[in-house]
Amino acid sequence: MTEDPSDDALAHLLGEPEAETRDRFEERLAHDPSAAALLKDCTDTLAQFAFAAAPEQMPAAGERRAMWAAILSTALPPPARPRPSGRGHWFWPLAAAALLALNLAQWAWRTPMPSGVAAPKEETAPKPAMPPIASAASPEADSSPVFATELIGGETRALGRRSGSGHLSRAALVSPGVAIASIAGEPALADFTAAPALSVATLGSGGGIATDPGTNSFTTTTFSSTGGATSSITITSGVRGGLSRVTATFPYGLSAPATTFFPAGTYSRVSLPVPIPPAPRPAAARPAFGRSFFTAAEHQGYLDLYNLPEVPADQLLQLWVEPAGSETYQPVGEIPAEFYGGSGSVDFKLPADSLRPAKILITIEPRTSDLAAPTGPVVLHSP
Amino acid sequence: MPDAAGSALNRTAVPPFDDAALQFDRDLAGRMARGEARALQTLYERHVGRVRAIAARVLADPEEVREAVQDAFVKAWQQAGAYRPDRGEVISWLAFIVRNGAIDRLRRGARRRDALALLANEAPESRSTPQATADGREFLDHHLAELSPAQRQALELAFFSGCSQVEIAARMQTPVGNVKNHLRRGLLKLRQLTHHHD
Repeated sequence: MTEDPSDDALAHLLGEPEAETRDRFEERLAHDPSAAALLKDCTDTLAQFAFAAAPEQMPAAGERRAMWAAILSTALPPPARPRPSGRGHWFWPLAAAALLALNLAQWAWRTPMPSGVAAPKEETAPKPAMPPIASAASPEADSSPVFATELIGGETRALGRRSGSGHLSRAALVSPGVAIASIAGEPALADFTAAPALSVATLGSGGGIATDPGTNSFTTTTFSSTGGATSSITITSGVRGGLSRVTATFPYGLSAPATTFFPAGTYSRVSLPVPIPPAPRPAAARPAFGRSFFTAAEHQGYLDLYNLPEVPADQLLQLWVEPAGSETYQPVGEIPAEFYGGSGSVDFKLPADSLRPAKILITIEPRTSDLAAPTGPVVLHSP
Repeated sequence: MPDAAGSALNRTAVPPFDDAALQFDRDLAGRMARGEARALQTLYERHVGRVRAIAARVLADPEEVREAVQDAFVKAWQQAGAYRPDRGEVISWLAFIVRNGAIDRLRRGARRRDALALLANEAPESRSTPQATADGREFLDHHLAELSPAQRQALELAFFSGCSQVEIAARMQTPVGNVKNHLRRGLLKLRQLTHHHD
């Protein structure tokens, strides 16, 4: 131990101390509140230094999405992860492995490998799926829980189940350059290994998409190799019910001319990229933008807002939300004035009888208004 | 919900060390520990730019930067249950996760010598990225400028290059005792300035 405790804290943080010194410091941390406080102080100060010395570099939307997809593909569920049903731990991995084996067999038998495409990875038992993470793209899926359905490059993963009138199971094996997505509709999940409705779509670099003519039909986008570009592809189910979209992200040089990215799950995500009509602001001001999240479990929304315009003292920025199933905007709160001309984050609650926000709107309104409906210039709105 | 029309929404400021933002992040970490992947996504969306910036300061290869960022958030997800708020804020925890991962990558690779040479040959001021955010600029202007060049260089070598004090001493051509002083006094100055700023 050195004479200055901040030396120990620094060495601890930067990974320098010998094992013996580290143990002593850990022991001191456990018994000495002042040492713990000093460590926290040093940690936060060094982090602030690091953030100042390395200013934020927000990745482009495509890169951000690809990184998130990769995170999803490798993140493991924590020990406390809730199980999606009362079935045993063995059920979902076993079911996924069985479906994938069937898919592989069908794919190998019926679909010629596009030229120049690497063979898919040898089948392995899939990792357990992440907990619910993303929102259903189709409005009809809102009322029932939908589990994660990211189809990730280089990974064997993803199972989904939708409760309701039928069951829809999905699994995917995706390897560099090749993806196999399969969807079994209608039969109960427990029977899906023998599902007559099984369909297989094989995606190959530069080769378009071959679809097995199963009971379900698929409208699929085509794609081509772009030599390293990151993109995503959307598979849309056709005849049968169930989820309407499955999205796969391919960080291995595939692109689709008309791609859609719809996270699936029990919350909604709405981007607020385009201000129309533009609110009055200085010509040199950066355009406003924002991100919105809605957590169904908490029935609460979060908004990160950037580059908000300056607003005269007699006016305010009003947040409106049109809940799903409604055709009218409801005022849910005023954006704090301290964010005008800058950025900030807010959260909001929806009325208890609302499913989720379908549309989000921020307008400039007079402070004297009763704010029954939006009337002023739109600053941000959802697509 | 007409009664909400005029009420101010709950707020959290974007700069990462605002009290409300820190509390928001702590809530996210708690939800992650309970297995809410949605909280991880929110944390990712809020901080990926900052995490990426640190990785990019350590690593030269953009692909390695991406992997370091991904690894950092995966690790945050896996270790959320072990996060200790009494040892640092969530954003600081994230900063050290990505820093440690990036340093490991640097050490595994053959580029460390190049990175050290690059860092040593550049004036400290030249390392700041031009597109600094408003909060970053404020901190740079009001805090980093208060550090002596030696203090800042020692802190940067320690944080971004993973150099030991002996290695920093060799790079700066100064005794190890001086390096300890640079680090200690630099950190103390930053702490004082930060607390004064708060």
